[in-house]
Amino acid sequence: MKKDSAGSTTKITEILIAEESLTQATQLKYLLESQNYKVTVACNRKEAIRKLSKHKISLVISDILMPEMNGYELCKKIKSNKDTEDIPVILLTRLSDPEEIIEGLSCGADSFITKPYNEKHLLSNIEKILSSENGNDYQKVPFGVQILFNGEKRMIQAEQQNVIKLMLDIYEGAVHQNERFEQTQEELRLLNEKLESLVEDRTSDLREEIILSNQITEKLTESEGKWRTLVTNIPDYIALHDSEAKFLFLNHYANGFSEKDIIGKSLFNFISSESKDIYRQNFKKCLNTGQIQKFEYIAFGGNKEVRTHESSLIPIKQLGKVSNVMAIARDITEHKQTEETIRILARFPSENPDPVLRVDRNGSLLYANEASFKFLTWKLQIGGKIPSSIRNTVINTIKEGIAKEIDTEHDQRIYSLKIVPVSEESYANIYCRDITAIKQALQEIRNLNTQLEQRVIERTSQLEAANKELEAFTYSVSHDLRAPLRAVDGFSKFILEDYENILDSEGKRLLYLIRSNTQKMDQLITDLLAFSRVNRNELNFSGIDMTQMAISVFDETAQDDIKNNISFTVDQLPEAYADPAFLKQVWINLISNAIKFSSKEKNPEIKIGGKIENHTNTYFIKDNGAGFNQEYVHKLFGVFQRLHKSDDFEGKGIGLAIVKRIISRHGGKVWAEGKEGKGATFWFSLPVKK
Amino acid sequence: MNNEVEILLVEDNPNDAELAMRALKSNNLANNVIRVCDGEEAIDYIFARGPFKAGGVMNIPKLILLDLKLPKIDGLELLKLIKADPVMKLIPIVVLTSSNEESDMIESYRLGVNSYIVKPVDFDKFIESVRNIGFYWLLLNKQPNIKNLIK
Repeated sequence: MKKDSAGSTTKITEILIAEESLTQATQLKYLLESQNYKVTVACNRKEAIRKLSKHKISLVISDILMPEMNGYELCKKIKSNKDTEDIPVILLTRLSDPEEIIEGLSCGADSFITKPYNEKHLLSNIEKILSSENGNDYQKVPFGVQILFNGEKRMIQAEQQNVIKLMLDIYEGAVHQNERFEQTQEELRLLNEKLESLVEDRTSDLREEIILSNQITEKLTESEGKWRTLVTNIPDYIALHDSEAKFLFLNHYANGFSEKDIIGKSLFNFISSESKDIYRQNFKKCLNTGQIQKFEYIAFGGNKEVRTHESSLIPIKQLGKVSNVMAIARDITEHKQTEETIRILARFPSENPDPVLRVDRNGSLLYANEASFKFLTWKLQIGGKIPSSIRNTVINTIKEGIAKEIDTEHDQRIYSLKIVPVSEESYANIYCRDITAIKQALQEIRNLNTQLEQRVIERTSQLEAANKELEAFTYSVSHDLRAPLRAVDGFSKFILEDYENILDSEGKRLLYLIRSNTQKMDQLITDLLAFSRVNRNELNFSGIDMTQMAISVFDETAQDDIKNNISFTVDQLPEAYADPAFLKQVWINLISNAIKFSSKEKNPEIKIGGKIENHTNTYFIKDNGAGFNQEYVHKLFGVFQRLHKSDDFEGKGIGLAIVKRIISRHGGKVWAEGKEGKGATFWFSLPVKK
Repeated sequence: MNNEVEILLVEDNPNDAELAMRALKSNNLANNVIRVCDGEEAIDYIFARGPFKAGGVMNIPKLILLDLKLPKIDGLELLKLIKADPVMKLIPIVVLTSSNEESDMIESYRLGVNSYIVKPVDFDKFIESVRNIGFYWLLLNKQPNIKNLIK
């Protein structure tokens, strides 16, 4: 609207700005020029007066505070000069002081604009003033009034319009100030709200911080507990020493030590004399250089026991200087002993007189002991491949993880290899043995065995043939020898019957003799057959209760009148492992012999006993009968050998031969002791069952 | 007593045969005895072959006294042949031998012999044995009429 009115007027409106501050002048100039006013700026009074005289100025806007000449004085000057008295003057004032108003009214200013000005308010004021200057040339009524202000009489000479205008301006300024105030108040309220919300946010932040802080404290306490548990329970010793190597702290004590033995005492009290120097050197070095020292030493454990420790000395710095030393010591006594054991054990393969190899999973040789190079005919090289003849077997054995034994031949030598895979290490240990000699010996044994077997087969078949012949022989003996005997006996009988009347008594006696001899011959044949049967028949072994067998044989053999008269005792006999039928024959022959040869005694006695000795069962039967001459003992067990006249004792001389034959076939022996008229003892032995 | 053969004596040794005949005679058992010398003759006799052709279809004795040791077909073989025949096996056979061998006894009984007697050398005892055999097998023992079975 200003533009319109300015545009509608033909004359150019020029405004003079009297302003000391160039910044404020430029700001105001820019505002006014934007409203199409022409603007001239003066920085001081002189310049203002000069520009007023030269330019056709329509309006003056002056700041009150200016050096040399303040706004009031400039205003007074303008209003007191005839040429310029009609130029309206607007004073820019802070209106901070009533003095300013009184001064303003006294100097005849047309309007007051309070600083800081509202641009809208300023422009409307300018327009109002310019329009009243141009259009309504109302009559100016001079106004003079005397007032008392601050105990001073002041004369205000202003036109009435000016006073009213001033009042309006002030009012407007007040309204404007009020608006600003309200605006500020609103801003304040908003700020307040913002502040409150900020406070609230901060409070909540603080609360969280407190919770967090509590949690941290809790965690710290927990961590402290953990640390304490850790330090107390760790098997390593953790100690704190002052610079003089005295104990300030020790996490736990070895058996036999308590706090009072350690704390405050020098650590060197607990170090063996041979380790004191090395410890002292390291301790000094740690103190002087501030570097961690690691070393081993011999310490006294509890009860003066010597232990090996591995230690780290850690410098603890205060104010850049090492004040204390932390010692962490680990007891490696057992570890050392284990190492020593391993070292000693490691000598086994190297000292082994047989080759020992170690081969990795690619078939490369990792290790070979001295004997390997000495005995193995392979070309061996550490890091090289082992011979292809066994390589795949070794590689597969490592893969399978199961130990394997193989024989392998190389350069006319035979080796037995035991391949033991160590799966976790991916290699195998191979223990070798040269078994060439053993193999050769085995082959020889095998050959000999085969030969022997062949010979046994041959001999067996020869024996079988001989046996068959013998059988055929005895068979024909039993038949063919008897037939003539029967004829002799039978025809003798015929003669005795058919020629009874012709034969005299001598003839008859001779015929009877013939017949009785045929009977004897028949008995001899029977005995011989029995003896040969002992040789021929197979043995069927089983366990025999010899005590029981001896008793029952006596019961069957002895007649009642003998039983009543004889003293027969049997000790507990060792059990035998033999052919029961043959053993029974042994007992029959021996017991009947004993009965027979003691039958003529007044108080016949038979005693049977036995024992086990050197894997042999020995049995005896002792009688108090006729006995025999020890000189002829070798004839006792022969076939048809008799040491007594048949008139004294009946017998065919075959019984003991059969006993000897049976016992021999069982692998035992028979022997006898006797004295004529003083009884005899017969012994026989049998091997104990294997 | 009729003319039917009651005993077939199979014995190669003429002395033994004479002794046996005498023993049978002394027990009044010799009237209807036929003696053959070996197994072959015994077969010929039973089946009426060769020298015994005129005798009819078959000759069935009441008892066979059999020695074991014979030429040609021996006693055990003959025993086996007879006992393998469904009709002949019904004829009682008594082995009369000098063999006291266990193996001979076992084999004889296995082949179905009816009795096994060892010839004693003592002739008095032999007569005693023969009397017992005759008394038992010819008088005491009952047997079916085998001839009826053949027709």
